[in-house]
Order: sequence, then C-alpha cells, then structure tokens
Amino acid sequence: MPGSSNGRDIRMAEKTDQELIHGAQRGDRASFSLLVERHYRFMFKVAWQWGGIREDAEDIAQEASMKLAGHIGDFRFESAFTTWLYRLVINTAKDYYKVKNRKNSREGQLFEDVDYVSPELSPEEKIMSKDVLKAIAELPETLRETIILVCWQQLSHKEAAEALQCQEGTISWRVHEARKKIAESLDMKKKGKSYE
Amino acid sequence: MNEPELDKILPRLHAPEPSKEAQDRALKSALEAFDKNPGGASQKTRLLDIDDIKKRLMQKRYVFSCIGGAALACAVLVFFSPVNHGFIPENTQETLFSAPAVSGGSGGMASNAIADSIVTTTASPPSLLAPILCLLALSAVAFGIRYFYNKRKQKEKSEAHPPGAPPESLTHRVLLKIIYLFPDVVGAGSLFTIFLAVLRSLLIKFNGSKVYSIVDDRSNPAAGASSSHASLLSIFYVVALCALAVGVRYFYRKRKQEKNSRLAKKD
Repeated sequence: MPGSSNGRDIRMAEKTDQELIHGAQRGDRASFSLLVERHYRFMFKVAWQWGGIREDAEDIAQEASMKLAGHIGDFRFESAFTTWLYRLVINTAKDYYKVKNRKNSREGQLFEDVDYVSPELSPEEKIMSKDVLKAIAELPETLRETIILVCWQQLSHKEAAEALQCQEGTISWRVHEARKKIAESLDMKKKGKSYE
Repeated sequence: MNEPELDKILPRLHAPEPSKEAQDRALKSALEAFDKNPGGASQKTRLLDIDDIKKRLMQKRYVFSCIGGAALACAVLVFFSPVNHGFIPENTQETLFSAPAVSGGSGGMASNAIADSIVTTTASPPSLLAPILCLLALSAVAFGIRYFYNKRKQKEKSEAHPPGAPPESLTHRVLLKIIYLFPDVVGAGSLFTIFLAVLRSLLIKFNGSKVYSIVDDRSNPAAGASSSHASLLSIFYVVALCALAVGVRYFYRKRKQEKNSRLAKKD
C-alpha cells in the first residue's frame, strides 16, 4: 500500500539521530539508510574542506559511509554523533590521501569549485580567499584538521578537542600556530607578487 | 593574518553541492557494507577462531620473523661456540687426546695439566648466557631504532604532507621494511635462544650429563673434532626450517587462492 509506505517514510524522517543510530545498531537497514542520507552532505563537506578536490571528496564521503556501516556499533553515545563523524571522515580522508599519494594518481587544482556565499565579496577578497584556502591545504595535518574544525566548521575548542581526541589547550595552541603559518604563507605570496 | 579576518572569510566559503550520482553510489555501497555486517558490530569485538589464528600466523611478517629469528639464533650460537672461536684451539684438542699416551715426562705433565683444565671447562655445558645477552642487546637496539624512527615519522607526518606530495622512493621503502622487520627477527631469535637454553637446562636436569651430546655436540670433548660437522648440521637445520616455513606458506596461499576462485565461480 503506497499510503502506508508514505506514512512509514514520514515517521522515519521524523526520527532523531539517536533513534536512527539505535535502529542501525540493532541491524535496521532503513534507519541506517536514512542516517547516511541525512549526513552524506556533511561528510562530503568535511572531506572537501580537507582535500579541496570535489571528486576526491565524493570518494572520501563514499568510503566514510562504508566505514560508518562497519563501525556504527562502536558509537557509544559518549559524544555528539557529528563529533564522532568528524573523526571518522578525517581519518578516512587521511587514509585516502596516503594511498593516493603513493599511487600519485589524480591531480587537481585545489578549491577550484569553492562556492562564495557572499556575492558582495570584491574580486580582491575572492583572490585572497583562494590564497587562504591554499595556505590551509599546505598546513601540516594536525594544524589543518584543527583549523577546519574551529575556524571553518565553527566548533568550539572543547568540541574540536573531543573530535580530535586531545586537550583543549592543544587545540588553542594549534589554532595559534595555524594562523601564524597562514599569515606567513600569505606574506610570502604578497612579496612574490610584488616582485613580479 | 589576524583572527577576525580568517574567521570572517572562512565561514563565508561554502563547499560545492555533491552530485546526486555520487550520493546514490555512496548510499548503495554503504548499504552493501551494512548488509554484510548488520548492526555494524566491530570486528575487534569478535572472538578469534582457528582460521583467524591460522591467517595471522601465515602473515609474511611472522613467517619471516620466525625463519630469520631461527637463522640468527643458530648463527649467534655458532659464533659463540667455544670450539670454533679459539676457546679450544684445534692443536690443544690434539694434545688433549694424545696426552694420556705420554706418561712420566714433564711435557706429558704439562699436557695433562692443560687437558685437565680443558676438561674442566668443556665438561660443563657451554653457557648460553652470552648469546642470549647479545641477542637481547641487539633486540633493544633494533626496537629502539624502530621506536625513534616511528616518532620521527609521526613528527614529519604532522609537519607537512599536503595532498599531492610525491610518492616514497624504492630505497626508502626497502629501508623502511628493514627497520620494521629487523626488530621482529632479532626478537624471535632471542626467544628461540632462550627457549633452547630452557630446554637444555631441563634436559640436563632430567637426564644428567648424557644430554650434552644431544643438545650441543661441541661441549663433548669427543665431539670437538667434529665441530665443522655440527656447524654444517645447524645450517642444514636452518635451511630445512626455512624450506618448511616457505612451503607451508606457499601451500596455504595456494589453497586460499583455489578457495577464492571457487567462491568467485559460484557467485
């Protein structure tokens, strides 16, 4: 019956993440499917912010979804689901690039398809934004993941510390270091441009 | 870059929308993975069965460690054996066996004295303490190198590895293999020697001095002359052990491949 099926879909859609996770942990396929659908965009976004290439981000999101299927039973509700998911996606992205760098397969221009939300950004600001993104991509892994979570995903230092399994103090230090490195990188680019 | 500037720019940059095809593909593979393992029960919590243990033991790392460890243990034992390395020179052994024939003369007395002292040294089984200590020291060095290498690698990894970094060179990879495998080999060698020492002390305890010839022919003065035979024998044992391990691994892998191809045909 199509009517009852629609009703069931609506009931499923109304379920909270917690109910869906419980369902998936019991082996309920529909709950898991909805959970992936609900969080796919988020996984893709984190993956893209990590690597800066759309195709890579899609691959990483797919691998992360598969990992989620294998590890959903490990989620113990000790932290927010999204915090746990950040960790999963970032780890998947690290593994992905480890293999990719070994194979040296696909090359691409980083952050080519960035979507500017504010149309009022001037062309100079747009160029600067791209430089900033490139500087982020060149950061060491630990600093990069911190700056993505704190400055881009707007997580508090406490939440970022939970996601990255470290102390809040470490997060503060990493953010400070990352800002310093980004500033240095931008200065070098400016100098390079002025010489040209 | 000051703080407000970065905090102002980044949240205004949004990721592109993922394609519908990619989303469907991800959902499909996630559901396939979920069907294989409903509930996402972690593999870690599953108890090991005999197949898992077999699979783990057949890993290249364990096979190489066992073979290498046994070979290293034999080599170290041969190196530390008193006969081969001047503890009992060949001519002294000749004196030792010819001494009783000479009687009365001062030379004969001297030969007897040497013979007595050598009999005292060789009558007790040669200590395995030196090879064990040597192997343990080597293990400590090898594990230390691996530990510090890992630390350095972690540091390097956290410093700069942007996507698109060049792949590692072949020499670097070979060096990496050696750094990772050598501690296991030396560790296995130490364990093997310790096991041999324990086995020997048990045999001595239960069978008395008769076992010297079983455990180490070189400790028996009568067998001193055949030290080269003993070395050859130990090399033979090592080669046989290597062949056995490689053979077992080969047949295990072949059987596994056949099993996989049968399953693939069924599918």
